Amino acid sequence: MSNPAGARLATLLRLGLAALFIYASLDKIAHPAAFAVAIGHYQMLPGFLAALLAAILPWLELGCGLALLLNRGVAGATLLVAGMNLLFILAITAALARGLDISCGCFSTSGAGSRVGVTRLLEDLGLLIAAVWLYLRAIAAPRPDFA
Amino acid sequence: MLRWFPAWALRQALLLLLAAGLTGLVANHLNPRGVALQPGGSAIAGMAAMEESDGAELPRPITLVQLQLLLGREAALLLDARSRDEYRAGHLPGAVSLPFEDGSEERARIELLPRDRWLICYCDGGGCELSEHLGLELVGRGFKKVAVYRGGIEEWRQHHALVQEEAHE
Repeated sequence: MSNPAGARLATLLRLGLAALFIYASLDKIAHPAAFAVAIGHYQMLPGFLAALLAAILPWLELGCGLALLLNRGVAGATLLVAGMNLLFILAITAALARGLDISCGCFSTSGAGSRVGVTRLLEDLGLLIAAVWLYLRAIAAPRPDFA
Repeated sequence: MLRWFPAWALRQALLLLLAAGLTGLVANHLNPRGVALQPGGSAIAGMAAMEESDGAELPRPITLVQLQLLLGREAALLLDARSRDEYRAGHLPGAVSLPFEDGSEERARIELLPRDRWLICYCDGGGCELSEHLGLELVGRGFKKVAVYRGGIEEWRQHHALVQEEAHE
């Protein structure tokens, strides 16, 4: 892991993921009710769980984004980011398989936001790979800097 | 397994999860645009009950969240019960103007409305009655899927900056 090009790439990916997750969280944090509706469109969760997820998930995105930005608790943050992306991939796949034409709820809670589609799926897959790679780097060089 | 998920990494993840969960619940509680968290009383459960019920005698009152769900599934048509001028000044996205107080020419259009979609009547909100009257008339003419969004324009504006302004007839 002492490869300097790898280290530079890791920093770049870490900051990229941080910016993306912080940005993605903001509109959802401001509008939990609208985000709950966006989750409801996926028709995967009972109402109460959709509401709970709408209240918490945006803050988890923000928390992970900040951890990555500050380079603190990167292992935990990348683990959660990978988990979230896995969920997003499952949700989008299920929506596509059932032919739902719904807005994604990814970056914006307004119904005018981007639709779910294969592009979103590939983006999330890329993010998942980046998060897993960063996680593996983080646990290979343990620096348990918080918790 | 333990090699891939060392305890310290899991602890970090758990701490982040707890912090986000607590912050999220508190922030949602304080946010006027927060989502209602009581189990059972959820909008989506209410929607399921709504879609099963048939042969309604009264228009069903629906909430903002139910309205958004119906619109998202394109299973609904919004009917603006206010005057044509008020409609032109701003209406809910996709709504059709059907002023309750207009003459027979307008009434004839009621027969053209779809019977397989929810017809959602609204007016200004805050206790306006035009939407209730329109809803009752629709039920009286044999439409089964009739709802009234009592929050109306007023509540919609509080939650969405977007109120369509061009005419849409």
